[in-house]
Amino acid sequence: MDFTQKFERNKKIVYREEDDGAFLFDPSTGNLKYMNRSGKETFLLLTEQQDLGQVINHMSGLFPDVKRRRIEEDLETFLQELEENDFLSPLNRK
Amino acid sequence: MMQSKEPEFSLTSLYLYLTDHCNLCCAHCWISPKFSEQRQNGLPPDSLKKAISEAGSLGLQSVKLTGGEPFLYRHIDGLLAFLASKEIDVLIETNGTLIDTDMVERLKSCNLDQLSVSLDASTEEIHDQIRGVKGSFRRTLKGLDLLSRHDLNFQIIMTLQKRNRDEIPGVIKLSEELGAGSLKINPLIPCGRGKEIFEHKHNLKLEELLELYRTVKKKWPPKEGLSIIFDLPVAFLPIEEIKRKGINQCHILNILGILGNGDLSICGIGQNFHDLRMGNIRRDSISEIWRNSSILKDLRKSLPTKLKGVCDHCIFKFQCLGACRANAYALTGDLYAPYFLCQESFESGLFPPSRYI
Repeated sequence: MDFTQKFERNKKIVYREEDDGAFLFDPSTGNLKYMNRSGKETFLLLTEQQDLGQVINHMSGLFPDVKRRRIEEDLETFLQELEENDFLSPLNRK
Repeated sequence: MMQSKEPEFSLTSLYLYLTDHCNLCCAHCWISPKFSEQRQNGLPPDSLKKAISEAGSLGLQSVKLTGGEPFLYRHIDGLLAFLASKEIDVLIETNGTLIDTDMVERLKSCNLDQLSVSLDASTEEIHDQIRGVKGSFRRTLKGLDLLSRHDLNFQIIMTLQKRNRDEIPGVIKLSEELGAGSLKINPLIPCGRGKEIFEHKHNLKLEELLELYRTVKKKWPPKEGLSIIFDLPVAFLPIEEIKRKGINQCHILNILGILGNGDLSICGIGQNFHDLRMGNIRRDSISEIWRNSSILKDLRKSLPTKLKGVCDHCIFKFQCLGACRANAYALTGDLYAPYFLCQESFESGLFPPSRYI
């Protein structure tokens, strides 16, 4: 994992926030992702263009009982799904 | 002759309306079968077996046995044995009044995926009133008790209207005591006999349903082993529940209904609407119909893009497909009309704005 990597949100997707999470919806494909509170938090950090290292630090602070390695793995899975569905893409990947 | 193209949609399930008769006379039944306590010939067994075998090549995985009352079907034993030999998953919707020890043994030999038994109240008086036949409560409980004693997993289905809204805690308790795997609470739909309940305003309004849904979650959590499915459209469910249970989709693109006389339809709705019928298993090939029916072709091309009203603007339209297309058709004559509960909620300002595009 490149901890300096930043991401940007695909402009065409619809983001909708609710108390207990958020939705990502692509009107052109119908792809839909529903996220719980921590998913929402992570997505917002990513779209604020924080790099992966910053996102992991933030989430580690929110969940001190969860091992950092586990947070990294969860983030990797989360990112993979977002990229596959074209909700998010890497910013200026080198 | 031109070869038909391979269908891109699998026919994963057949809904078999084995007979158009029922031994109960439920006030809310959307199919409105004729009353009878006699065994019924219903679907011709040989044609039915042929259709099921043919559907195997179209991707068939399960059949749902319903009706009318499926256990009134004269050929039920042979059908269950046939389905067991084909290792096809079986789902059954029944009022439970005709389940006896012999039937339990037959059910045990099937790939029984789900056995749903209707129970509308925890009290004899209200259940029998809704079901239209005195003694049905006791008979259903006897059937449920047999299932429980033989360790057959079952679901209890309760359909909500004003008459039984206060029965929910009692039905939850009874479901726990009987060892049900799940309790499904269905809102009443204004279709078949249910239409009359709406006309008399004996149905629950959306606000009341939402309130009950929240009350069930907060006040009456079930004991371990029982899950409660409050069958509201996904647009009204919290994210946490959607994540846990997924999105319930109208199965219309992957099913066919076979009615009591052998006619094929998109589901049981063909019972009341002849224009949604498309051939008969006595004379037609199910593969031909699955590939070439104009009704099915139109649905495949147009769902969900042609959905109207609030459904066209809903964030879930690709997954939900408009909740129940049969119900939309029954109410409006249009397969793409919005689902009535969602449209009603939108018009009264109750549709969640975050889910409207």
